Amino acid sequence: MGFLDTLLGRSKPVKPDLDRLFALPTAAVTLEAAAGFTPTGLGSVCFRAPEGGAFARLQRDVQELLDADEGPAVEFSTDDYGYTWLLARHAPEDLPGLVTDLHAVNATLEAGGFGPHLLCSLVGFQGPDGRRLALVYLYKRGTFYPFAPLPGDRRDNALELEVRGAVGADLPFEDDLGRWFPVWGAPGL
Amino acid sequence: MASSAPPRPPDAAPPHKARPPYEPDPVLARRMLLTMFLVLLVYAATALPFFLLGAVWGLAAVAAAVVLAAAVCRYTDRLALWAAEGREVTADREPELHAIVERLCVSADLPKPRVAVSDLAAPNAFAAGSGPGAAVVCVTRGLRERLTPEELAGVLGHEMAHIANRDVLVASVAAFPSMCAELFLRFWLGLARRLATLPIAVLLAPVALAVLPLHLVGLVTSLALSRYRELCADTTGTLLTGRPGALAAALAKIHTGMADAAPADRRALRPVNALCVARAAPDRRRPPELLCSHPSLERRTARLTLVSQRLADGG
Repeated sequence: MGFLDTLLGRSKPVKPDLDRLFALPTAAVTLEAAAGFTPTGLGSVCFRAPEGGAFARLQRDVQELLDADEGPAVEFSTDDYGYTWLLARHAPEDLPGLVTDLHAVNATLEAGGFGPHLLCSLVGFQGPDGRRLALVYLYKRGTFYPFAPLPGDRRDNALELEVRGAVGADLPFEDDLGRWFPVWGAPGL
Repeated sequence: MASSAPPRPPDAAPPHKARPPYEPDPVLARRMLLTMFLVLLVYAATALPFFLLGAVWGLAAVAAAVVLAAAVCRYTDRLALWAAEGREVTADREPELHAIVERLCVSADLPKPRVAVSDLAAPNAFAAGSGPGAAVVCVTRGLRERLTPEELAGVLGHEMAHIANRDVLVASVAAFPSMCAELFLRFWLGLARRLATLPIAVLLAPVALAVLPLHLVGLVTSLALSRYRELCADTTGTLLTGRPGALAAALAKIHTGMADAAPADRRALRPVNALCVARAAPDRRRPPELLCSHPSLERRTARLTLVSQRLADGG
């Protein structure tokens, strides 16, 4: 934020770089080789649906856009805090297709002027021992971080750091550990 | 249609090309710049007498002011928490509050501030700290009891906007000359009350006479600035939550709640009044707009309604 913006008390939304999402398939290959985690074929986009009819229209457009190519339909859900999650399903081996869908959702919402309300996108992974993992993409920062839940609202920090070691070079990783925000119960996790 | 459709180009025909609903308000920006110019004049008027004494005196006064201002900024968060009886809470104790703040941080691209809760029954919230790196948000028990999670998010969005805009820093800088003037005037009144020091008071009378208008002008300009920043924080906070209606509803509840609050609670919030989401002064009657740190509820609601309408119109 510039000096003048600070002076005038206004914040400008940052210009995000959505194309970074396309680095995920490469990172997935590395992740499988290093830690044995494979994609589950589930991915989701989280956004804050603002009040008003315009966003409802846009939401319908997104649904139609993704339903068009004979794939399984996307699912909308709302979490406890009023945020909307859009869950996309693909075959586990079709990670590029999933990433393309997530990219399309983000791009459509962004083009509709709702970029400020986009929060994050995530892609789910599963370990050989059944452990779950998500790679979360922070829309506003253009960075990724891992989120590994354990039973009882705890996080597997060791696994998260291990994942950073494995794919940190393939993805623009979030350096600030304080911003590895938990996404408990996110669809697609 | 082929089953293996090629990847869609990322920006294929956006269905609704819309104007972003959060354009900066040029009128507000112009007024704010004018107010800041006045603040600058107040600063110049404060420093001028010292420079008349000599360049060294002038520079010493400026240096002292900078050090004092830096100290105020650095400890403002601790001071505010202490004054409002707030204590920091971890994510285990207040998972909902932390989750709301975290999501707002993602939206605003801010580092997570510390989260605090105050046991006061008066519904209010404030943010303190000099900037996004060292900030704290505090809500009172009364606020949590009265507001729905969505309204709470609206209020916290407003506070996050204050942090993003560094409003505490701006407000401290603006209020600094009038604060110093007030301190001097109190000191002078103390001298004038006692017979032994009366001659010194008489000697200092011209200075006190010069400081008085400085105090008044400084007070009025810093309050005007505070009102503008509140309006800005309302709009920016709405940018984070997308729900101007929820913030308007929350503000209405807070205003009613503050009017009914116990005088002791309102007194406790008074030192942090300028940081609060709604006015916390202990009197029931509202002084004229010129002497208020917050815009009237009607004015804030009107602006939020405007954002609502823009969102309804298609963004």
